[in-house]
Amino acid sequence: MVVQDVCKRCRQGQVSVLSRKEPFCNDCFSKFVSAKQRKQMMCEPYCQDVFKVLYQDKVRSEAESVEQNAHSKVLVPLSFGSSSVVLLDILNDTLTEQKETQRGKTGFHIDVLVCGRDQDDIVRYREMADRLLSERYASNREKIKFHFLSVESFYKDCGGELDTILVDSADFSSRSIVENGELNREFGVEDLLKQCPDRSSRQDLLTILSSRLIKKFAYQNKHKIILWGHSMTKLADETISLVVKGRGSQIASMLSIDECDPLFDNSFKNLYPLQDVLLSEIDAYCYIKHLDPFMIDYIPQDTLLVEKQRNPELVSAPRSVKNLTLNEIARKYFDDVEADYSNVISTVVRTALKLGEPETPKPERCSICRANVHMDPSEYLQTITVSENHPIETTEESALYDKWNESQFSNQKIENTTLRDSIPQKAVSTSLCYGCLINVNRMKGRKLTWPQHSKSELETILDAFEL
Amino acid sequence: MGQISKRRSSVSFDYSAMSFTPPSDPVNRKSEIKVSQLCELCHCRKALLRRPKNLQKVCKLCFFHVFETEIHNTIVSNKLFHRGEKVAVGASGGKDSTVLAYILKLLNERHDYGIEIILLSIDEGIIGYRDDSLATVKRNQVQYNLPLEIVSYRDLYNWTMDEIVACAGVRNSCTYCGVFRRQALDRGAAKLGIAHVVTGHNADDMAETVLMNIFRGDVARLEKSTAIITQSTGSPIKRSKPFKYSYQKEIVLYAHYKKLDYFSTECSYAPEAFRGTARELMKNLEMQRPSCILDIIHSGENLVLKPKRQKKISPSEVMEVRSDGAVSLGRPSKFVDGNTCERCGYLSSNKICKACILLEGLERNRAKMTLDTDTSTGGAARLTRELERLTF
Ligand SMILES: [Zn+2]
Ligand SMILES: [Zn+2]
Ligand SMILES: [Zn+2]
Ligand SMILES: [Zn+2]
Repeated sequence: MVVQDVCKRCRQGQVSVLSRKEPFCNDCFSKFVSAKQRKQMMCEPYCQDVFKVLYQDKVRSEAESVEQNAHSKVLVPLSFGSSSVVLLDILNDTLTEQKETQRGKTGFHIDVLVCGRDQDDIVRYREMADRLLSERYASNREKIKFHFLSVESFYKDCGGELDTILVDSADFSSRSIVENGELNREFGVEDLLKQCPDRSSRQDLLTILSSRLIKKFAYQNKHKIILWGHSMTKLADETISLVVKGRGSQIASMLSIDECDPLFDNSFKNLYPLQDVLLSEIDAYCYIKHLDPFMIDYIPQDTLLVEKQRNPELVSAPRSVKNLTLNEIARKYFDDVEADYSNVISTVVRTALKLGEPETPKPERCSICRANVHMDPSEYLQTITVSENHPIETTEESALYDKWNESQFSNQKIENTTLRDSIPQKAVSTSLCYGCLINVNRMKGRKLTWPQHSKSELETILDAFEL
Repeated sequence: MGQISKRRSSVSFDYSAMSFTPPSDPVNRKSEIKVSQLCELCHCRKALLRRPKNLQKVCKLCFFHVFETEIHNTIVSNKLFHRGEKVAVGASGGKDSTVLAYILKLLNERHDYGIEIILLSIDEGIIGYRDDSLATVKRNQVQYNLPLEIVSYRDLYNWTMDEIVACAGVRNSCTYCGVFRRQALDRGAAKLGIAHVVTGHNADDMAETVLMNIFRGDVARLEKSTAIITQSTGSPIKRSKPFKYSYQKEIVLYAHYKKLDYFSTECSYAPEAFRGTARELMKNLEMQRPSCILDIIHSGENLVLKPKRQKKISPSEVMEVRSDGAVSLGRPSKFVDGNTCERCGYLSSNKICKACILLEGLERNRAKMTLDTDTSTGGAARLTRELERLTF
């Protein structure tokens, strides 16, 4: 490959990155990425008010501007992958800049939320957070706080009872039973994951429950905006994955910036500041800014760097498609077509941003993911997936049927299917969205245990600790 | 067990031979059947296959039953037909349309839809492909005792598909084929006084289209890409897709176990490369989760656009032949009732219909081609350059 020596933007820096067919030097590339994030942060008035340093003006008094600056809290969910670390780093740069240009004032402060699966996770995350704070954010320490939360809070701090949701294999109807005390106390995320048939559904449920936790945390701590780290690439594969999981109608609400989150009393907005930046660009940014030592379980790709990293771990063994999750298959697709059809990723995201929600008068909400249910998925599935059999025709067949009826196979079947007969009074019909119905239908025993949704669930304080 | 897997792996058959001998069934020795081998639906017959749709192990009779009933349900719940309606099956001799013709006849008799079914075939003029497949359709006509009508591109457009490909290049053949075939079916139907054409588009096609529209950002088509009935306002012809929820693999299995006579070669002009990547993606997804074809269709049915901010006035239909001969078809913002093409009189939202615009390009090109035959400077490259100048 012929590489130009001099950066096209400043005409002096040495070229270190090739992105979107343009050669960049380190400085210009950093500016390029950071400008894209800042543009999103200023994309509309609500966000501007949160991030800007406000002063007395026509609409607010001096006291009000001070008050507003102090209450402009944003939440950054941090996974220690490249995107969320870069997002946080650019926010830190923004704070530093504001202090320099606004005589020590800043327009906002940051709470970072780290969710861990278990205690080991939390210990590792905490150490890394310590390093970040002391090595990179020392000068803005008073503006950045880290919080740690175990995903187990999802069940532990749900403030009420658990429901077990069951799907009938014959007619795809869904019902729920309130669980008794014992299961309420003991059921945990690991129990849930054990019921999953594959990595895809584990990932799906983990995404739903951690997003619920993060949003609940933002609601309880009065954050104005959640800043999600998603790159353009991640948004593209999330979009396709939602389509593939039958959750197409949920894309619009995931990406909505026009309104505050209606599921949490409209108390915050969801923002994707890196939505215009490719993952490969974020990864390149990590190396240029020396953020790569702050990743956990993630190695940034060096595809856009002129000087490759020579990290042996970068060349990971190709995984067989069979073991990939749906999200990973979508990601692999974008990786594969990026070279030949370079704008597919941005086209998908642009298209996703144009989507709205179907208009359904008073839609019910899904008992699991809380999405609006626009059409009854059980009726739909019943029509197109028939489970009625061809009748018994011969005496031979009748004999075989009797043989089956007496075997243990028939017991299994009855346990799984005839919900209506086995749990007559306690079970009540419950609403599921198509995607969740498909998920539960594939779980062991076609059931899933989930916290009931209620005011008390939302208000029960999450047991997070602060650094 | 060995028998089941052997049967399963031999799904694709080559029925291209002109004479047709149905495959024979293996002999079932019933006495040895174990309970674990029984069909998961009836529990009284040996399971013979795993349904591609949900991996259920089922016997042949239950497979027929669920496959047929699902199509019946689709027809009824979408009110596809009304009593006394004349329905043309777009018959290509391929598996989808062969199974469609067979099943519609069967369901029409079983459930008394009261419809009249006609096979309608288009002869595109692709040597070696259409010859054999038309022969298959002609056999189907006899086998199913259904009337057959054949309309040729030559009759309709004065061009055969082979001539079009020679002129416009292989890569763009699907665009031309698509526009011409669509009109040809409608025109053929109109000629026969039939207002309803059913096509063999299956669930895989539907899901692929949903993904393609998102990958291409084809916002205009996004909302309607999964519609089971399509009809332009004012057009006399209604089109529908009874196989909307039927898996391609199940259609093949059905044709196989029913020993239907179909022509197995696909259109010899392969899909363009980008569609190929989507097809590959679908294959990987289906391997991971068989239900995803239906899941994608469900998503497609619920994709709607945000209400537009009243800024831009949408341009009326724009059609452009690009430098490589590819054609991009804009969308009419609104179909104007009763408009017809100035040239051919066929219903069109514009002054001149898509087919006529393409034909005009081809005609100009044919003139160029004959002029250029004596100059030996790179025929194909020259042709491409000529096409570059074609704009409408
Ligand atoms: Zn530069
Ligand atoms: Zn749901
Ligand atoms: Zn059966
Ligand atoms: Zn015309």
